[in-house]
Amino acid sequence: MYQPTPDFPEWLPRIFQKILDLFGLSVNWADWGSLLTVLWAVVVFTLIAVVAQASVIFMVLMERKVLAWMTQRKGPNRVGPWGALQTLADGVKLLFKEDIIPKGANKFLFTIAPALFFLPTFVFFGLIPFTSQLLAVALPAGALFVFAISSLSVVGLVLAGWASNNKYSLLGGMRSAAQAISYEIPLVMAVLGVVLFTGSMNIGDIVKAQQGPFWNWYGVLLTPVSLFIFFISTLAEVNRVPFDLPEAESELVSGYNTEYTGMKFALFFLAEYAALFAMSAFNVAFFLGGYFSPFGKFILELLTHQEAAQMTGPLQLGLQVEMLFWFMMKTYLFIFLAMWVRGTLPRLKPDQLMGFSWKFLIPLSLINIFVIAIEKFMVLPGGESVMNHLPILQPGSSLSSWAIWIVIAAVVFGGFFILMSRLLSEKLEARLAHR
Amino acid sequence: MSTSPQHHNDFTQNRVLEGLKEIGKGMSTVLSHYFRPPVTLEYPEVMPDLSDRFHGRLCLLTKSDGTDLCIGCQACARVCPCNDLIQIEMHRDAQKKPVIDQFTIDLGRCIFCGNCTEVCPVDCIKFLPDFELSDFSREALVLDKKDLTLSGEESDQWRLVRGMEPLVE
Amino acid sequence: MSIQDIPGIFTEQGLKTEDLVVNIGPQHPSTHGVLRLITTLNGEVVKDMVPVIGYLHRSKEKMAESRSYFQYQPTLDRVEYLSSFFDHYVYVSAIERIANLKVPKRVQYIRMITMELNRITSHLLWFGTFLLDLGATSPLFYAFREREDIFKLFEDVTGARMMYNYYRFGGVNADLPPGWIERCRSFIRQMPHKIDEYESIVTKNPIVLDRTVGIGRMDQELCMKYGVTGSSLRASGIAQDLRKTNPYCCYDEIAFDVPVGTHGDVYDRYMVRMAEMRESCKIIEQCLDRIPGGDNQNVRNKQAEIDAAKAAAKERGEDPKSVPDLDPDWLIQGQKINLMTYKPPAGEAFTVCESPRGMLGCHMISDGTPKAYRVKWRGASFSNLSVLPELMIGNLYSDLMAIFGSLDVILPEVDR
Repeated sequence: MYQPTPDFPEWLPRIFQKILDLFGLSVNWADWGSLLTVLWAVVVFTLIAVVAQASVIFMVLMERKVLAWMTQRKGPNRVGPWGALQTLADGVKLLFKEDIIPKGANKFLFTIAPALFFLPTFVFFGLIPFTSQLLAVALPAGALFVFAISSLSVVGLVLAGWASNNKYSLLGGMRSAAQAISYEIPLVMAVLGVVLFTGSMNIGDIVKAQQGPFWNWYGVLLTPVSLFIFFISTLAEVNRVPFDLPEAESELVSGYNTEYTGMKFALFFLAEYAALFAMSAFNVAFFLGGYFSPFGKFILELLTHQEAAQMTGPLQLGLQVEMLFWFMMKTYLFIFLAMWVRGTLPRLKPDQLMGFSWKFLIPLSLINIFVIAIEKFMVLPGGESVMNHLPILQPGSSLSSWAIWIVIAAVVFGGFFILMSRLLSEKLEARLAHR
Repeated sequence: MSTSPQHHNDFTQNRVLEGLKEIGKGMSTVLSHYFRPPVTLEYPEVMPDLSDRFHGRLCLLTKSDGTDLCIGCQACARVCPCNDLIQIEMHRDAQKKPVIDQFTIDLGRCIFCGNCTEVCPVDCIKFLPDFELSDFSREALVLDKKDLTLSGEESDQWRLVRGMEPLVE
Repeated sequence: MSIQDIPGIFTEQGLKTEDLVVNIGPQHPSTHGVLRLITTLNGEVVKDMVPVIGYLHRSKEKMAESRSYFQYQPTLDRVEYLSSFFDHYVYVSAIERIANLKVPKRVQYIRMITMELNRITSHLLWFGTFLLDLGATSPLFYAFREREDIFKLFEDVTGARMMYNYYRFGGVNADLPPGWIERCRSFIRQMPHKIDEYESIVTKNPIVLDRTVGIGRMDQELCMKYGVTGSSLRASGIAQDLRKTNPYCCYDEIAFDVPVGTHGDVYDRYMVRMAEMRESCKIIEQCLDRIPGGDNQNVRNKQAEIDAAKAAAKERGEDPKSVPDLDPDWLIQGQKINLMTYKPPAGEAFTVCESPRGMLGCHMISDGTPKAYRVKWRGASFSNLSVLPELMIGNLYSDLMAIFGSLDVILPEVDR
C-alpha cells in the first residue's frame, strides 16, 4: 500500500557522488548512509527553519489583517504595500526597547525561559513532512516524539512565571501549566486513532497512507471527531482564544509575559505563532492528507499525463513544489480557522477549561479510540475483516460497505451524545429557569 | 447576603450539539462581516465630513471689508469655564470706537465648549471646522489676534456656508 | 519520615497556605476608569476586597461654586462622559425648577431624543467592553461602528461628537438641522437588526452562558441595602424606572416597556441592557414621529409664512399682532435669558433622571447670586460600585471581570 519513508531522497548520494567525482574520489555509500541522514536533516532543517520563520512573520500580519477584516476595518496598510513590512517594523521596534530585568528576578531563569519556550517548537519543524522528500528527520516514532517534546515548552512557561518575581506572572504560569497538561491528553489520544489506522508512528508514513482524493483523508470521513478534538486541543496547547487565560490581557495583564520587554517578549510572541504553525501543520499531516491534492491526482499529473512515481528531474521538482503548495494551503486554512475562532469566542475560565478537557474531551477521545478500534479490527461473519470493506481501501466498493461503516459510527457516537445530553443534562431553558 | 454562585463547570450539563450550533452561528455572523466593505476612513488622504457647527479651531470674523468686528466687551472671556483663557486688551480711539490691541486664546487649555461663540453680541468669535491643531510646543498653541482673525473674504465665506448674509457696515 | 514530619508545612488547620494580596489597578485594562481593588486571594477564592477610589477626583462639585451657572455647564459633560446629555439634563432642569422656567414641548422632545440616543451609545460601549473583558474582541468594534453613526448625528446637531454642551436653561442651544429627523429615523430603523446580530454572537454562546449564568447574583434586599439603581436593580426583579415612576420631559406620552430580569445575575443584567437598547429605539421612533413642528425645514417655512403675513398685514395697515405667532410649543427657547448674568431666585431643587447607569441626581442650592451656592451630584455608579465587594467575597477571582463589567460602573461618576 505505501513504502516506508527513506531517511533521505535517493538523489542525494548521486549528487554527492558527482561532487566527489570531480576530485576523483569514490565512496561506498552503503557505509556512509548515516552521515547522509544527518547531512540531509541539517540541510532541510535549515531550509525549513528559515521558511517557517518567514511564515511566522507573515502569520503575525495575517492575524491582524484577518481580525481587522472581520470587524470591518482594514488592518495595517501603511508600512509597506498592504502592510507587508509591519511585522518587520514591530520586530525592529522591539529590538530597540530597553531590556528590563525586574529587581529580585532570577536573572538566569528569566533569560532562559523564552528560549526554553521556543526550543521545542523549533524542533517540531524538523518533523513536519512538507512534501514527500522535504522531511528533515523521518523518525520511526515521530508522532510520539512530537508530543513528548511539546511538553517541554510548558517548563519554559512556568519558569517565566516564576522567575519574574511578580504575583500576576506566577498566577499566569501556574494556570498555563495546568492548562497545557490537561489538554495534552486529548491531543495524544486523537492522534492515537490515526496511528492505529496507519500502523506506524512515522509521520511521513501517516501522510503517505492518506494518498488519494479528499475522502481518503483521515479527518474527513474516517475520524472527523479526532480532527475536532485535535483542533481544540491545539488551540489550548498554543494558548489561543478561547484558551488564552495565561496571557489574558484583561485579567492578568499578560500573565506570564508581563515582565518581559524587548526581544524576549518578541521571542514569546513569535514562539506562540510558530507553535500554532507547527501544530496546524501536524493537524494537516495527521488528518488532512498532508501534501496530497484533494482531487486525488496532482495537477501536474493531470497536465502531463504521467504518474507521480515516475516523474524525474524538473518534473519531480515541479511536483514537490505543488505538494508544498497543497500543504501550505491546508495549513493556512487551519490557521485562518484559529484566527476566526479568536475573533468570535470569549475566554474560558480556569475551572471551565479544566472541566472541558477532563469531563468532555477525554471521555470523547476514549470513545473515539473505541470506535476506531472497532472499525479496524471488526470481523464480519465469514471471517473477513471489516477493513476490507471500507471505502478507502477498495475503489468502487459497494454500498453495503459504506452502510456498515456509517452504522457503526452513528451508533457509537450518536449513543455518546444522547447519553451526554439526556442522562445528565437539563435543557437550556430549564437551566436558565432554575438558577 | 449574596448567594454564592453555582459553578457551571460541568460540561455534561450543556447540550453539546446545541452549544456547538450556537458557536457556529456566532462564527458565521463574524465571518459575514469579512465580506462587508470596511468602514475605515483613510485619514489624511480622506478627510472626514464635518458639520457646519463643528467645534474646531476658534477664529475672529471680520466685516466684509476686513475691519475688526470685535468690540472688546469681554463677554467671551467671562463665560469661558477655564479661567484666564481668553485675554483681551483694548482701548478706545478718538471716535470712541474700540480698538483691540491684544486677543490671545490658549488653545492648549481650551475645551472647545462653544460658550464664547454663543454669547458674542456681534457674532464675531466662531468655530472653524479645523481639527488639525497639533504643534511642537505649548507656546505655539497660544494664538494671538493675528492668528485668529480671518480676512474679509474668508469671513463672508464662513457666513455664506451657514446661510448668513455678508456683513457690510 | 513522612510529609507530616516536615516542620512548618502543617498547622492545626491542615496544610499551611498563605493568602496572596493582589493589587488590581489602578492602571488596569479592565477597571473601567482608575480603580484600585486590594484583593486578598486564597488560591482563586476572594477572601477580601477593598475598592480604593478617588484617583479621578476633579472637584466637579466645588467648581460649581466658583463659576457662574452658564460657565459651569461645559464641565458637566465630563462628570460622566458616557451620559453627557443626562448630566446636562438634571442640572438644567434643577435650574428650571428653581426659577420656574417655561420649557417648550419641542425642546422636551429634542431632549428625549438626544438622551435616548445617548443611552444607546452608553449601552453599546458597555456591551463592547463587557465582552472585551470576557475575551471576545469583535463585538467591541461592531458596537463602535454604531456609535460612529450616532456621533455623526450628534455632531450635526450640537457640533461636537462627545462633549455636547447643548441644553440651556429653558431650551436648547440650536434647533435640529433640516433633514436630521429623516437621517435619525433611517438609523433607528436598522438598529434592532444590529442588536440581533450582536445577540447572535453572544446571547446563547455556551462559553458566555457558563461565565454569566448564576454568577454574581444580587437579590432585592442587597440592591436596596446599597442603593443600587438602574439596570442592575431591574435585573434583580424590581421594576423601578424613573421614566415610568417619576416621568420627566414627556415620557408619559410615549409608550415603552421596562425590561425586568428575574434572577439578578450577570446574564440578567446583560439581557436587561440589550432589551433597554431596543426600547430606546422604540422611544426615539415615537418621538421622531410626534415632535411638535416636525423637521426644522417645516418650522422655518412656517416662520417665513408668518413673517410674510405680518409684513403684508403691516402694508395693508392692519396690526401685525393680529397674525398669530409661531406655536410656542415649536420654539427652542422658552424665554430669553442673558446667559452671562443669569441669576435664578434663591431656592433649592433635587432633580433626577434615569441615566444608563441608574438614578442620576442633582441637588442644587441657589442663593440668588450668579454663582450656585452648592451643587451636589448623586452619581449612580457610586452606589453600584459599593456592592462589588459583597458580590465578590467568597467567589472565584476569575468571576471578577464578568461581575464588575456587568455592573456598568464608570469611575468619573464615582469620583467626580
